[in-house]
Amino acid sequence: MKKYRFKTRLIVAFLIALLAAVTALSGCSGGDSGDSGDAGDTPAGENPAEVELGFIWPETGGSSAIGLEHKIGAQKAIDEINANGGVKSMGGAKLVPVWKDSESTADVGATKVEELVTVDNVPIVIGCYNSVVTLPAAERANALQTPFLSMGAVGMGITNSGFEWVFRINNTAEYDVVELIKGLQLAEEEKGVEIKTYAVIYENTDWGADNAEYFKKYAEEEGWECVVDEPVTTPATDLSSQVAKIKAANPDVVNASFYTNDAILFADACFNSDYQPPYGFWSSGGGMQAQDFFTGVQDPGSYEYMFVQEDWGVAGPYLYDWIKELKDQLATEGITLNSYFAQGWTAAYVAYEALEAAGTTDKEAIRTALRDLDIENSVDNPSRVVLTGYPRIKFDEQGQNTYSTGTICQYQEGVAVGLSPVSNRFPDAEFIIPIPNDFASRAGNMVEWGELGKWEI
Amino acid sequence: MENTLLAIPQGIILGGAYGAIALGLSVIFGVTRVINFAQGSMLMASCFLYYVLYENYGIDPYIGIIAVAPIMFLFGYAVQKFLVKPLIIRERASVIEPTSVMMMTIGFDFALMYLFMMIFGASYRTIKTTASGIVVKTADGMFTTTLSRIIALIAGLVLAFALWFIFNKTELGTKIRAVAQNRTAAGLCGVDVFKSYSIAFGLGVAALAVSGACLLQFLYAQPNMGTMFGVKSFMIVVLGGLGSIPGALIGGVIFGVVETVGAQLITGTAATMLSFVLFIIVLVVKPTGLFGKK
Repeated sequence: MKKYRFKTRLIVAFLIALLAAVTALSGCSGGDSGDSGDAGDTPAGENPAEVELGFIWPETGGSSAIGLEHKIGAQKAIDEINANGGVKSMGGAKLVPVWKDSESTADVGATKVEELVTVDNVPIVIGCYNSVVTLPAAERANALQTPFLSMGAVGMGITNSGFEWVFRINNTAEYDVVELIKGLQLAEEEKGVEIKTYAVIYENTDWGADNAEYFKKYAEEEGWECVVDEPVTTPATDLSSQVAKIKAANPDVVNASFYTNDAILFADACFNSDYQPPYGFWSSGGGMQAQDFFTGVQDPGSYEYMFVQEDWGVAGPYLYDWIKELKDQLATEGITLNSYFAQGWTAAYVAYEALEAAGTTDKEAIRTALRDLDIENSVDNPSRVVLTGYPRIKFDEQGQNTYSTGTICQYQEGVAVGLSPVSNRFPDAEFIIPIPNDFASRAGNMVEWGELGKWEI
Repeated sequence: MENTLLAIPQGIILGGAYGAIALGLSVIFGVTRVINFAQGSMLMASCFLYYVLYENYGIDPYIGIIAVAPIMFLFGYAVQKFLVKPLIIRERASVIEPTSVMMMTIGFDFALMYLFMMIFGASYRTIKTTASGIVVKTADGMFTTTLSRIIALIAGLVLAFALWFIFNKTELGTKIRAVAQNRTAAGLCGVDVFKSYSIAFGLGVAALAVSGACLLQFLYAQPNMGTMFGVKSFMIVVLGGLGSIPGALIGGVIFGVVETVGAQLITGTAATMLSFVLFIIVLVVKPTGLFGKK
């Protein structure tokens, strides 16, 4: 027996060593960064060779596909900044990202903030996409008196809680919904239709419930009647039953809020049921913006005619030469320019701008720089910071960027066509409403996701 | 009312898939008394194997079962032999159901999940096969399902029968049942206890692999996908009766029907809550589960 146990332990030890070797070879360990030492606060008159930026994205868990796109976007922005001479006010100090994985889990985000601030000693933290992760992370950063740049999360509490060290670049859940409602109003006006009823179906999380609540609030103001209010426990394994329920209620419009996995199930279930509300599915994004959603659905026809609020100016490549060039460059590397890439890019650039203005890694100076930050962006005066397409980045007293508009797109022939606001509209584009009953032939008219079809520049 | 009635077959089909996944867990627990918390990740691993076969060689997962089920059997066999067995030996003097094994399977679950995350990334990977593309509609389109979901239900029934046959009609099954009933007595009668454990563990993981072939047809492969079925599988197995093969399948169907019919009358979240309440009621009234033996 003794001999056996020794052999067993040897084998187990070998397996563990093998696993560790695989980990090392793949180079995918969490919390990776460049090999610079801690930056710390820079004493006056001394410039560090490198400045570390702390990033927290969901690299694992339910939102991992999205978080990894944020990471790529941020890395590309940092590469560009460093190639252009780094932080010039600090003698050309290079930016070095320190990546942390939130695991898409609420308490992990806060723990990672603690690590970044107390162990890695970064002067600024950026993240975390999921509202449920970002709120406690922001609270922790605020307690540690470290500037926190929130990107991706729309939960209201992030900038409504009196945090003095927290700044949100993107918009809030409420404003996402306001943009959807404005898009619906524009569609009514342009197409001469009248919305009377709607349904909301959403994952029962902070983000999903917030979206549904605000949609109901503003829809009520419009006088629309809610015929189905369906929260879904995530992750779901089948949504056919919920789709049958909505189909039977026959609303004019359906507002859906899901992350990628449930978004795939929902779209598949609707398409298999030949179900399409007459004035369309309207979503404020989430999974319905992720590349995996478009490649994961069983039939591309399931997202045709769908309305999605994109958190960036989808018309960017038409309006800005530099975005067109970036898009083409990324395409050669197999990277698709989308809202999550754009969010990662802009977040990294805003951190850089703050450091450039501060000229030091002193946290108080960075916070002051963020408060004073004012970046304008327009076709006549484009800014490489604002890949997200916002007209301006300027934080209010609560730390909220009040200029963070998105674009309501409708998938037409497989392309996300910008429609609302009119200033972000694709050339000659218009709403397709009511939605045609062409389930059998849709896919044949669509281009591959990511291509621009007849809108190719 | 029509919708509610149509939700019943929908729930049976969904529950069939739940039950098929729970079968593997039931087999492993029934014989070894080990609660395999890594079963979600093992299911995920099999889905990725099918995905690789499909993407690289165009092999439909139903055909891929021929290769993947034996691989997963060997994998399960090895996990039992090299990881579970030493822990059971270490603790057998004090307990029958060693807690360290349970903890080990939790750790193994995460290790496997992160390993696949490293290899495949976090993307959701779906496949488009003939079965996944065929939609079955009745009642003016109000009842809709895919052929792949119906096949999952049938596969669950076939799998349950095959496992029942192995355990009840073969010499190997007799030995395994003897070990399950009293491993000390079975060992004294000349049955190789740990070999029986390893075979049972392998069979349980292979059964998971068969479910994986059906699941990938209408769901996706993603490193975190195991979490979807983790808690639910345990509930189903306990509801049906620990170690009971028909119990796992019927438990799955009950869960599926409660969820889908409930979703028509109340919200989906409330229906899921209801299925867990049902689980608690059954446990209180009949602690051994619907088909469990004392």
